[in-house]
Parts: sequence; structure tokens; C-alpha cells
Amino acid sequence: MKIKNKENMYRLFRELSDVSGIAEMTVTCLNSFIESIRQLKCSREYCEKLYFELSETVRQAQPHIVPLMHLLDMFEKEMDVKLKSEMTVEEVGRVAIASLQDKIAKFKNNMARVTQNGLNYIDDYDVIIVHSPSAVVTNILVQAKEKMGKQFSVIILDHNPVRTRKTVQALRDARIDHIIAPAHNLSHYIEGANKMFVGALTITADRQIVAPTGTAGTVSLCHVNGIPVHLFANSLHYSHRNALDQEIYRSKEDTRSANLDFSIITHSHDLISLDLIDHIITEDGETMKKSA
Amino acid sequence: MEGALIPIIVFIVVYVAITFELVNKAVSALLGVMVLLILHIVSEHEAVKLIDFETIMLLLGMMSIVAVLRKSGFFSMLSVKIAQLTKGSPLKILILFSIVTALMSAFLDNVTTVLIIVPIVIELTKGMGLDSKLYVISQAVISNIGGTGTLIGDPPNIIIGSKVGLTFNQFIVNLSIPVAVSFLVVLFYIWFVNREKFKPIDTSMAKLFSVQLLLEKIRVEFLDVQIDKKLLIKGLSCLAITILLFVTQTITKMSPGVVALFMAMVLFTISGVNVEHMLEEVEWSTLLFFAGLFILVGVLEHMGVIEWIAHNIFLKIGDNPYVMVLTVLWVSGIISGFLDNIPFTITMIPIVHLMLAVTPIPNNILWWALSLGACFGGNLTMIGASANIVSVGIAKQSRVHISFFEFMKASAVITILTLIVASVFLSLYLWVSL
Repeated sequence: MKIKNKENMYRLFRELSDVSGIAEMTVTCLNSFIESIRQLKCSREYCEKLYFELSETVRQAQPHIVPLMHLLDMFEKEMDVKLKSEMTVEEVGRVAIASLQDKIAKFKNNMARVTQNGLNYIDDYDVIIVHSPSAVVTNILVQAKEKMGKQFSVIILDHNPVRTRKTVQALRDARIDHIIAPAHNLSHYIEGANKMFVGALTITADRQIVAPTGTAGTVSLCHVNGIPVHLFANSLHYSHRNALDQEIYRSKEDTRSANLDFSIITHSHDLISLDLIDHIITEDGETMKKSA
Repeated sequence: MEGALIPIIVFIVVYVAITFELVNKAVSALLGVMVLLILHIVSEHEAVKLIDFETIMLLLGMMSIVAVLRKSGFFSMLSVKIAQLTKGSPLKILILFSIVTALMSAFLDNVTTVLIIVPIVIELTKGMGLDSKLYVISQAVISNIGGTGTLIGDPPNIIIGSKVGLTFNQFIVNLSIPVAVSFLVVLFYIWFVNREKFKPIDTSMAKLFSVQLLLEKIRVEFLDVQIDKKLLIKGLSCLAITILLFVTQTITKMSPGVVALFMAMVLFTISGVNVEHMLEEVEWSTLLFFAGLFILVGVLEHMGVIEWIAHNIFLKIGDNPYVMVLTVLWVSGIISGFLDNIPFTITMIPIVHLMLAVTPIPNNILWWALSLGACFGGNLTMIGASANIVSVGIAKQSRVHISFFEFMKASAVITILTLIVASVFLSLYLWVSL
């Protein structure tokens, strides 16, 4: 695959995860894979090669999308077992699509179980801080209100306008009390809050979490003020690699202010020590931090 | 012509200021009017009488209806659906967006159309690594062609329809054929010249995959408001009734201006929208620009300047109807390419009236020549039509730079092709009519 195509794809991953969150993006990627298989026109000889090439390229994304990597690992292993040389190109496509659909179902099931477990962490009169909430965090808030009738309010920290809009829409639809404040203004609201909910792209082997930019500052402030931070992530987010191997994307952009030229270096995601997290909730319930 | 020197100088200065965008268009026109008022060349009451309120009402009404429809999320939903339908195929992007652009610009104003379509086309083509410039220029050009097909599609048509008394149906019946043929010719030309860039992507897994991601990103980003279904139904119903009343104009005897403004007020009333917010969406500067130009041209007409131009330029060409029709078409086409076609049309209307007084031409063919020339000619250069300027501006915001000459290189041939189509159509129409 051409480098230009890869870079374009990785940029789309980052942009999409910024606005949709990692869980939705994982599902979108798998659905996109399925749709690409449906539309692809190629001979039997090349189709497997093209599927595996795409899978490998997605697994090398910057930053690594760990849940997707795990699911594509499973997909490749399954394909190795199921594919036979006498299959037609349509049959290969059908097998691949079925396998990918199975991965989507598995991921969604894990998400639903994390959501279910997460409902236990909301009490009446809670004031919960969220920053770039994942689909799981949003679902927990919505279901706590709609299914369990919990009375709580949410402080939405604005970081990305599209993400904020999606969260506001979900909370408004569920009639959950909320206020919206810029993420850098959190100090003005911190005393009124008693919990923070956060999602993560990855939990690394060296006990760091990879999360959307700006999350590190918010988590630190909550930690300093004794507000318990709850991390909701299913086990597919766990990586065997260290934080430095997560290929967090680093961009350098030239800018100019008045008559001064300078460069700004931006990282696509933050790194946060697990020591700052008080509760880790997975599909199997709360996990001890040491075992994470 | 006595005492006409000052109005002529004022008019030329205003024209230059408008063409080269030295000052805001509305400010240029109204400043010119103020100079005439201060110098007592025209009184306030006379000036107001020169404004064609039919045109102003039609524009105000349509702008208000569009503002409500935009709030409903209809346009975002439509453009995202079209993007999804293309499935990332470069040729489908060109064809589907061109069809939507042409249809939308036929019933809405061209600037609104490109404001809705161009950002999503740039996002899609840029994300796919395609040549965004080609698609931006295509949509700008197509919006001007599509707008030519109806009375409400393009400002020159609104002015001609109102000042001459031509109906909505007359525009559709007489202009739909040259507009449809021109649309197909232009699409074919764009494809033929750039056919290497329109190759399908269905043999590349990476491109297919990236397109799916891109379409999802577009869906998330562009559907920035939840669809307000009630507002959408009310808005579309009012638009449909408005068009129905345009079509039945000869039966109802209601002018398009009255229909549009009446339906806009009905929509404001039944939709419960915040009227103050909706009125902020109306392009007041465009309405003031029109009002100012009507006064400036009205004064020139009153002073006999227009009659002088007609006698000394257009009536010199003789009384052969073919020559008259083709001269109006091509002169309008070329001049509209370099000057704003709105003041040009307002200036040309009394001239065409005088030409028809000397040599009558059946079936309003000379008016269709003016309409086709002024609208198609707007495609000649980047400054020929507002839709072109706005499209290039949107592209620039997305870091897609289109220079004056890049635009002209692509659009000049298209303009000539469409003017040739119009010439053939008008000649045949005249031949049948005589």
C-alpha cells in the first residue's frame, strides 16, 4: 500500500476518533472493512492478500487502536483456518464478512457489559465530570437515568465541538441535568463535583492509559482534589506493549503571531498514569489496579 | 442626455467598485444613490419609485423560506445522503452532486446552493486525495447553469421576469431545453477532459476502506443539527406550495414576489421559529444592492442615456432578428463574464425594450437571449457570478487555492460551449417562430 494512502487512512482514524470516540470508531472501521469487501472487484488470487494487507495496515495505525488490533488479530487467525484454496472469491468474501460481523458483535457485547457494570457507579445526587466521553460513558449516563431513574447531573468539559455536541444531544434527549464548560475552566467547577468518568483508547503494559488530548489535565486536577476517577474500558483495550510503543501521532505545525514565526508540536493523545485512576471497570466488573 | 454626465460618472464608478470588489456591493450602489440625492439629480420620492419591489419581494421571500429549511437540517441531510450515495466513486461524485446542484440552484439562489454543496464536496474529494479544484469549479459552473432554468434560479432571471412580466412557466418551458442540453454537454466535457481522474476505485481495498471512514466522518461532522422533522415538513410543504403558486401564476394572478413573501410569512407563523434569528439569515446587503442599482439605472434611463446606448450600439446592428438575438446573447455572455451580471441585466432591460420597439421578435426570444447570455456568461471568469466567488472563497478556507486563471482555464471553454448550445437553440427557435 502506498505511503500516501496509509497516511491518509491514519489521519482519518485520528479525526474520526476525535469526533466519535474510540468505541464507535472501532465499530465503524469493522463496518468499513465489510463494505470494502462487498465493493471490491478483484480475482480470487488477490482477494486474500488485499484483505490481509488492509488488516495489517489498520493494525499499524498511529496511534495504535488497540481494540481494533485485537479484533483484527482474531479475524486473521480465523481466516487462516477457514479459508480453503477451492473457495471462490464470493465465498472468501462471505467468510470474511461473517468473521468481521462476529467481531463487531463481540465488541458490542463487551461494551454492553461494561455499560451494565458501570450503572453501579452512579448514585443519586452525583455530580459527574466527563471529558471527551466515550460511547460507553455516554451510554452509562443515559441508562442510569432512563432505566434506573437516577437523579444526577453532569459537567461536560468542552474540548472538541462535535464531540461536545453529540454528548449534549444524548444528555438532552435523556433529560439529564448538565452544564457545559471549557475544559481549561474546570477549576471553577471542581468543588461541586464528586466523580469523574473517563474512557480510554488503550491501557498499556507499563500502567499508562492513552486517552484523548486534554484528559490528562482533567484527571490530574480531579486526583489532586480527591475526586475519584472511574475508567470504563473493556479488556480489548488492554495492550501488551508499553506507552512508548503506542505510536502516538506527533505533528509539528508552523504558525505566526504578530511578526514572530514558531512551531507548535501537538500529540494526538495524552498519556495518564494508572496511579491517578481510582476505579477500573471492565466487562467483568471492577478490576484491581495492580492486576490491570 | 442633458445633465447626464454626473449620473454616468457615478454609474461607472459604482460599476468598477462592484466588479473589482473595492467596496461592499450594497455600499457601492447606495453610495452612488446618495451622491445623486445630495446633488439633487433625483429626489428621494422619485428614487424610491424606481425600485422594482417585485424583485425585492421575491428575493426576500425565497431567502426567508431557505433560512427556515436550513434550520430544519434539510440541506445537511440531503448533502450527506448524496455523499453516501456516491460511495466514493469520483465519477458518481461529479454526476450526483452536479444533478443536486443544478436542481437546487434552479429553485434556490446559487450562492445558497454552493454554500451547502461545496464544503461537503471539498471534504469528500480532499479526503480521497482527488483534485478538489476540479470539483469546486464544476459545482460553481453547474449552479450557474441550473439557475438559468427557472425564474427564481438566478438574479438576472428574477429581474427579467419581474421587469418584463414573464411567468415562472414561461421560463421553464422556454429555457429548460437549452439548460438541460448545456448541463449534459458540460458534464460530458468535464469528464472527457479529465477522464483519467474519474477512474473507479473499486479495485483498491485501501481506497474503498478510507472512503467508508470518510463518509462516516462527513456524516458526523455535517449533520451538525438534529433533523427537526416538524420544521422540515412545514418548510418543504411551504416550498412546494410556493412553487405550485408560481406554476399556476396565470390562474391565480398572483405575482411571484407576492407568492414568495406571502408563503415566507405563513411559514414563519406556522413554524414557530425565532423570527429575529431567521431574519438575520436574510442577505440584506443583496437586497440593498438591488435597490440601489434599480435607482442608478432608473436615473440613467430617465436621462435618456440608455436610449442613447441602444440607438448607438445595439440598434446599429440592423434589424435582422438572428443577428439581434445572437448579438444580445454573446454580448451579454462576454460582458457578464467580466462584470457582475446583475447590474448588467438591469442596464440591458430598457435597451432590449427599445430594440423590440424597433424590430419586434416573437415568443420573447430576445429576452431568452438576454437571460441565457447573462446567466451562462457568469461562468466565464471567477468574478462573473457570485456563486463562483463564494465557491472559490470556501475552497480557500479549506486550503484549496484556485487562482483567477485556473478558474478561467477550466470555465472559459464551458462558457463558450454553453453559449454555442444557446445560439443553436435560439436560432432554431427563431426559425420556427418566424
